[in-house]
Amino acid sequence: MGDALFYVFGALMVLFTFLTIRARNPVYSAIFMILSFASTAALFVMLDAFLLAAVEVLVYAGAIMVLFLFVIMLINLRAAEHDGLRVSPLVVLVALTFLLLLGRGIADLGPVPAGANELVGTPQLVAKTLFTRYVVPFEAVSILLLSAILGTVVLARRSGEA
Amino acid sequence: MNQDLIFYVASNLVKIIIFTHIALILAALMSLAERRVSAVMQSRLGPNRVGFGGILQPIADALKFIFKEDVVPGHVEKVLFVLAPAIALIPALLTLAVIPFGPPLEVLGREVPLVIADLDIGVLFVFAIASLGVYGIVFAGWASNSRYPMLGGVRASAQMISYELSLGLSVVGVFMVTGSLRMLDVVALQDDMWFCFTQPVGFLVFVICAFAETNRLPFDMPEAETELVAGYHTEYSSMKFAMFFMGEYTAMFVFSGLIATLFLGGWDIPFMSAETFAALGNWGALLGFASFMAKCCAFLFFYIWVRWTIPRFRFDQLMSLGWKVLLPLAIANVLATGLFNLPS
Repeated sequence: MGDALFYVFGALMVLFTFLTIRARNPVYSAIFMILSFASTAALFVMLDAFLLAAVEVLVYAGAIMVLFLFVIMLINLRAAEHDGLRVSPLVVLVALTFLLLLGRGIADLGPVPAGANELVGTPQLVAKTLFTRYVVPFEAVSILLLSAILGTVVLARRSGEA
Repeated sequence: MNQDLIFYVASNLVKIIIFTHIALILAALMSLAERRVSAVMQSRLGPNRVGFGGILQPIADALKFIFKEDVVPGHVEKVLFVLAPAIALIPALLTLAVIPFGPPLEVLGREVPLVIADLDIGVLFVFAIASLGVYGIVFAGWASNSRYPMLGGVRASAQMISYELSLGLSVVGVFMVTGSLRMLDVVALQDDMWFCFTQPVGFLVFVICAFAETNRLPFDMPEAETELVAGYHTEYSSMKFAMFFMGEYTAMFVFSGLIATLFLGGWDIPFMSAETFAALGNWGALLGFASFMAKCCAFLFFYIWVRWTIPRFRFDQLMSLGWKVLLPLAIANVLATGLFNLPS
């Protein structure tokens, strides 16, 4: 049952991701991306990582994609429908290299240690890991994000005044 | 199949059916209450012809909705146009799953918690699913392929992002005190003191954001009939139009339930401890359920009360309220909660 569901949601995720780049209308691209995020969340649920699943839906499917749609609708991309997927050899090369590296990385990880499933997902556990062992990287990332936001605001304001 | 499994599946099915029906019937009654209350506030009578005092008006409305012609204009994006009302309604119904309606009931010697799914992540689930509800409005606005709905959809997406952040942060204080995201834990910890007294700022921010999240006046910018005709549902008719309203009223009920659970003690009754509820057995459970529903209905009334009292914001006011007032308030509340609850 669990295995079958994994393949169903995994296949859906790949399918929706493909449709995201295949769709000719940017709004439909965004919709397929939302569905792809939903499939990812389903995979997290199957790992009992409910927190990650909820955050995936809340942040990616809920907030970020709404922002995407907001921008698409605001600048009315309807007119700019592109003529579908164009595959250049360079893209294929980059994608294959990435797949190869990813495959090698996964192979290097080795087999899943026993009992790993019980260790993910509860809010308490995630919080404890983030705020003890990984507190410095965690704060560094938050400062990085903050500076990115500040940079965007500064850039937007400057171009607005000019 | 063993008996426990059968009982589990059956009890959950019954709960799902009952809770969704409570939400949908309340949605229908709300459409009546909205008109009757507004009528009282404006010295009018309101719909009082169908049934005793107009109580059957929602049924008459539903029949009318069903028999009206379902117009799909020729210039719309068909697929999304048809899907959008469903996308608006389904998340609202899904979020009901983690709302605890009362203390556990005892049936056939087994304990049945009055919540469909007692998730570890409780309120995060509600936020995650509720954040999808806005797609109904955004897609409706986009698929309608005309000016006013489009503006409504764009406004909805901007508004949702601005207020969801404050909404999420305003309850962080509660969870810092409880140390758990589970709804049942939150209710259990409010046995002595409701969180609306210990977390007044969080409560205030949450209530304001709840209005914005459900697109209710004074935050109904996506609809704004005085400027956008009818906003995102301008092109909709018949049952599709009704589904948007069912979605809106169900979302209002869910947020009332959330406010009752997180800040008003859930099913708790003042000066009645959890032991008293347990001692009363199933009557205690029913009493708790009644108390919870009373709180929800009181808050639903508050929704209507505010709608017919406060005029709509301008869009820039709405944005500056969200980002410059509510967000800093919510963050300050998190900080203050942390300082007041330092581990000694």
